[in-house]
Amino acid sequence: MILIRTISRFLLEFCVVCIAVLPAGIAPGTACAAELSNSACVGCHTTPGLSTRFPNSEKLPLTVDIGSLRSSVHGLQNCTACHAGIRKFPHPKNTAVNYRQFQLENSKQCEACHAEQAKQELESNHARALAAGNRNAAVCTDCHGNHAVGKPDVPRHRISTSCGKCHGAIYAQYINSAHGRSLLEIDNPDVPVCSDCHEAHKQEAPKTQAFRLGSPKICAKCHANRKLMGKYGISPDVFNTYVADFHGLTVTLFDKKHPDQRINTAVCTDCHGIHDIQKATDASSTVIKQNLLTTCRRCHPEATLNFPDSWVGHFPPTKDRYPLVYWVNVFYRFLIPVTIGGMLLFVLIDAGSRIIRRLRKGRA
Amino acid sequence: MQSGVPVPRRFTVPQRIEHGILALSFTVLGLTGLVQKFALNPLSERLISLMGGIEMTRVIHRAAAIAFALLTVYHFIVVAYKFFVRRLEMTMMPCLKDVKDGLHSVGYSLFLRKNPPKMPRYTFAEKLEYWALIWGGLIMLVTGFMLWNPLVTTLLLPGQFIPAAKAAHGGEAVLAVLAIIVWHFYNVHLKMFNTSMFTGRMTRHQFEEEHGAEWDGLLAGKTQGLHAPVNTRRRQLVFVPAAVVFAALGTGGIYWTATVETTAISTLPAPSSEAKVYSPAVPAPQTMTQPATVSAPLIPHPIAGQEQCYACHGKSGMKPVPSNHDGRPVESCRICHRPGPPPKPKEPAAEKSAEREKAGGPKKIPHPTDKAPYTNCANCHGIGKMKPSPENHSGYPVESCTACHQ
Repeated sequence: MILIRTISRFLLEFCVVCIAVLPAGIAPGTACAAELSNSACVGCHTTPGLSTRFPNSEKLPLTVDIGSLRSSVHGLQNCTACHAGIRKFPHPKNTAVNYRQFQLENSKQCEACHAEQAKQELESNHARALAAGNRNAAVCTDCHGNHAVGKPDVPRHRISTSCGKCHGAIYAQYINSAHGRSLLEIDNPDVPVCSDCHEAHKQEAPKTQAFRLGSPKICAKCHANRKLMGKYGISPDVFNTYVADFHGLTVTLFDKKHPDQRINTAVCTDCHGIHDIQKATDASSTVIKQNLLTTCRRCHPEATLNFPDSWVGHFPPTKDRYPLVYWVNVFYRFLIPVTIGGMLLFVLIDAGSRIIRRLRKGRA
Repeated sequence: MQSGVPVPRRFTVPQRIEHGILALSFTVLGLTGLVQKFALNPLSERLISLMGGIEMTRVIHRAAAIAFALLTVYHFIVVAYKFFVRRLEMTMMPCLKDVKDGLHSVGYSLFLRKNPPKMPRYTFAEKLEYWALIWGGLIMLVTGFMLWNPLVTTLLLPGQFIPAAKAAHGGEAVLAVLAIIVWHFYNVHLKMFNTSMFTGRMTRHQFEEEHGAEWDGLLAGKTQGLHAPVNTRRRQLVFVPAAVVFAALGTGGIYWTATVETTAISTLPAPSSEAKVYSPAVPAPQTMTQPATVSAPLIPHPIAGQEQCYACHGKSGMKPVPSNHDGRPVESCRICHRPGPPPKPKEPAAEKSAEREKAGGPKKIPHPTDKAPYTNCANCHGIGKMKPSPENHSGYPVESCTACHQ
């Protein structure tokens, strides 16, 4: 042990680039046959300022903050559990040519323990983007961190802030939305964070037709929940009333039968906004009366002043709200049973009498 | 009842064709309309799929609506011709006798009356159905127009007329379809199979039973209320241009209905607020910073080889931890205590350690430590060795020697 320490101290003093470039004369694997233990690793990797450089001169810090590692969810793990390729000193030569490549390669280690999540992640937007050559696409460590891996949802807004690291513009919209504000202000457990709509590991591509057509169901997960909506005085019938109307019906049927077909009928987000959604009563809401015509005109460019009123909203018509619709409904609710009932009565009497007369005639 | 009077033809060929087109368009409208009204019913869903989806169902519905509307124009022209030019008796006009016939009929069914009513060319049941069709058809045409062209409609009318039109269109549809099933099917198919819409004629027996009053009139030599066919030529001269204008207006109106408005864009709506998908936030949002640091004394010595903190910092150690740290496991030390700056150069420390030795502190190491046999302190300083360490050093690991002895 003393020998190892002596050699490693020697290396620290004379060779700052201790991993990438091993000094000539030290054949890899000869210095220490035994596997490295955690204490052996931290012996070097707690040295402040320890770092190496990639061929493109990017710096890779090699100092590990033991405190945050120990307080992380992996606090009791061995270093080699994740750094599986490093078993000996001197370490194998680092082959990554830049920092990003190093990150992409190292994040593959997570799969060894988190196979389920890794499998899900293969179906994610990030994995697809990465496969298409976008090296900025997030890998495990980009969201979860490396040594300081905490519970991703503690506190809950950590989820959205993690996404916000890369999706800053969308995050900026989100934190100013009805959902985002409530999340940040009171850490509201009821409002959606990014992963509630987009999933954590297997996010669907949000710009596909299938996602668009299925999106009302995402909103309905919360907005059709009577108990949850009751807490906020929001009508839980918004989804039912949407599906009962022209837009929602079309979308629902297409979603069921032809989810990949391009259909432009409005989904929730077309009127209410997506990441920047506001309360329907908020002055900046896209669906408040003052803004509704503008919103309608996004799909109905020739919409007239009266046109927005043709949307009854998410409420059943009453005597005070949309009285004309209410009274038409009342009219037919009476007319249909009275007319058809009367006709049925006549038909039954007539048919009965004919049967009786025929029977009598046959007997006679 | 035997007589030489032939059973008159009830419907001409054009009338039967008209009825055929009406029946077809009504059936298609009813089917494609009701599956839209009750679209999420499993049967409706299957029918919609069968018709090629909801969009195609709507196209079929509108095509049938055009046929229905054209038929309406045609029917009004024919009726107007019969009324204004041929001046035929308006046998479809309801009158008080129809009410009496209806009551009489019910009375006969309930065995309150001995004989059934003797009814004219069109019975009360037929008149009821005809006028229900006229009334319902007009409502459907008007409300259908509003649903087809909501933008044009709301130019003139308040917005809520659109959902009201939808409610009326749906309600009227249910009413009409049920009425056809209950009233029409019973009266002309079930009660007795009335062939007059297919062959133009019905049996003498049926005719006598259904249209007793007309039959009596025929026996009495009365023709179908036909006035002398003189003068029709002059009336035709006026009627034909008027009918052409009406037909042009009607078909033009139907064409206009079908083409006037582009209700919605055919592309996807632009996102309400487009944000760049990949835009790394600088600085990163706060919660992804490292876990909060606690201000605890930094560790002033290398940690490698000295992980057993309590060897020195235990209660009986050289530098015991504060009493509020009791029970904290050794693994937790470095959660708060971070490695401090690197150890200071040796020379001053050597001087210092000489001073410390004088003051009763740890003894200075009087020999080099990097050459055998000095590399392992335990070689000489263990219990029973050449230079035993003091008794209170018995638990100290060999790695910790140089923490104090320099």
